[in-house]
Amino acid sequence: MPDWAREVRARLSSLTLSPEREAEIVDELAQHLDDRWRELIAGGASPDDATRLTLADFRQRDVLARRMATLRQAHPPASVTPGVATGRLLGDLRHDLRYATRTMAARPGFTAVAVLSLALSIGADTAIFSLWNGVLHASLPAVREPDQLVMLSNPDESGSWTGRTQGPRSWLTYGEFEQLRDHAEGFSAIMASQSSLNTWQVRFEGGDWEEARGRLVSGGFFQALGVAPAIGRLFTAADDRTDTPDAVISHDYWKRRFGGRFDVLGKTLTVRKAVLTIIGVAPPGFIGETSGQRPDLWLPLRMQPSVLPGSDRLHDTPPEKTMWLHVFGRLTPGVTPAQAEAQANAVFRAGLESFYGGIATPERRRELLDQRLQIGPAGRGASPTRHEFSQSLTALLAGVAVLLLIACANLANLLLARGAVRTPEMALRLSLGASRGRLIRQLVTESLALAAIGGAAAIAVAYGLHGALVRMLAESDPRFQSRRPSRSRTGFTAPWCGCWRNPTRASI
Amino acid sequence: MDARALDRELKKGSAELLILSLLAARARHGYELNKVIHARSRGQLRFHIDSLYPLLYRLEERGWIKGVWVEKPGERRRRFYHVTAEGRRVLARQRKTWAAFVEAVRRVTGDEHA
Repeated sequence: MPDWAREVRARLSSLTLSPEREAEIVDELAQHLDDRWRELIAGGASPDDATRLTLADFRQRDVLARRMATLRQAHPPASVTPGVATGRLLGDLRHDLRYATRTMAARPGFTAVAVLSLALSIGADTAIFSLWNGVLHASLPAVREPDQLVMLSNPDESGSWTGRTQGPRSWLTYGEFEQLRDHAEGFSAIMASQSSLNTWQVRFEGGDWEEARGRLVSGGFFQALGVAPAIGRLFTAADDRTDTPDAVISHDYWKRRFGGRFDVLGKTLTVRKAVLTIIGVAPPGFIGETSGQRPDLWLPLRMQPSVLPGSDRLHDTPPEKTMWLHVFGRLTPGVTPAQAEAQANAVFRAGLESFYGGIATPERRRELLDQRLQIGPAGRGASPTRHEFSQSLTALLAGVAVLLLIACANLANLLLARGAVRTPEMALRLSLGASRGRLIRQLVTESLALAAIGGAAAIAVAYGLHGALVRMLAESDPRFQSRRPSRSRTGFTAPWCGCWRNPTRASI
Repeated sequence: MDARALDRELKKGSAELLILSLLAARARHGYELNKVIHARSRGQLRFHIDSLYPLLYRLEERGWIKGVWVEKPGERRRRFYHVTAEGRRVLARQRKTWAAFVEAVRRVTGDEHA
């Protein structure tokens, strides 16, 4: 019987099949020829005739190769020796990544320790940095050009004071705000807001009483902050001259309390004995002028006697003043903060002289007039607790930075130890033709893959830790309220993994 | 197109249909496939070995059939082919197309006789 395998192999010789595939094809076709030969023999043909007739099943000698040449299996990819360059950058990268994955899977203990080290250190660093940045450096969210905002009161103070004071003012009175609004020309927009946040018992449309946080603001509040309503309308400067009982609610409260229904507009809201009408919803993310506080609603300042009964904070009687407002402004283009401060103080002083005009003693008058306004940047908003948390958060950030360095050193040691173990492997690959540069690229790819996995795990750690830190701070100080994690805002980018934007913010 | 070229094209187009149809009934090896085609066509159709196997490998690369080495006691191992789910979908389409083609030809040739 002829050697059918040899016959088939000869007809495949011009192809570049993989050795395994060629062996399979030779095996299969040789069986076919053998079956045919045996059938012919069984049918009475002589061995020579049977061989000739069987081989006649092949037409010209190259037909099989030509038919096979169009198949993918006739063009197998070139074999790759790990570490040997193929000349294709992306292809090499894919091979390197696949090899890195196999290497990591082969040493699960090492991989787990490395990933955990990276995840915990980067995660802790990111969470603390996120908190530190949000508390100390983040601008007011959803406010137009917050860097252009200035403040004429003390951003670190909240509350009120009735009586007399000296030196730089922490808060202003309603009358003083009105004078500045009407006469200070250094500001293109000016507004006032209650320095503290109220927690009111409110009810909607005669329903049950419920708790809501709110703040009294002047008519120009939203205009000065440069925000537009999500639905309805917001207060305007004209609202300062009327006693219209209107209310604006926050977007978060609208979604949470009213399910985002549009028929919220026109609903009545009862605060104490005042019945107000909801006229609009603030834009998403807007929390107002005080960082770290999230009011549910804003009411006009002129509603103070109704919603904060007990005293009339809108009118002062000499020599007592009720100071309770933060005042913010946007500088008129071309006016420097120093010029605006001088102008504001001129108006302020004129108001004081008019107010204390009845005081006869010059010494007493001089004492009472020893008050001034200081203008400062307000892009980060007011915050009664920012200063308090500043030192501890900075110390914490420094601590976790050291922790990150320790983790990096630890990981470097681990990689070094593993490198020593892999010396025979590297020697083998060098002997197979890999260049040193190619091996270095492979090792760098492995390290980057490890860092990427660690960075991804760090995101989860950062989320969890950030939430825990915010809860801890909120428990320690009820004035602290976190902004909910948001992917939409630019923040701290973890430079070591370079693949995610800080998803969380909190501020005071 | 001359008669030989037409004949070649018809055979080429129908070859896939023949193989898919036979393998859809049950798994077969290459030699058996060829014998069945030869027998059922009463000697009219028969594949050369250098046509049959490249075609089987092409259908396998397309994912329409799948070859598996089967080893039975006392026999040599053989590579049996069966139709995949994708192959069955292709077969259904090809049967439909073929039926439409045959019907069209029948109408044309029928008109000649009318």
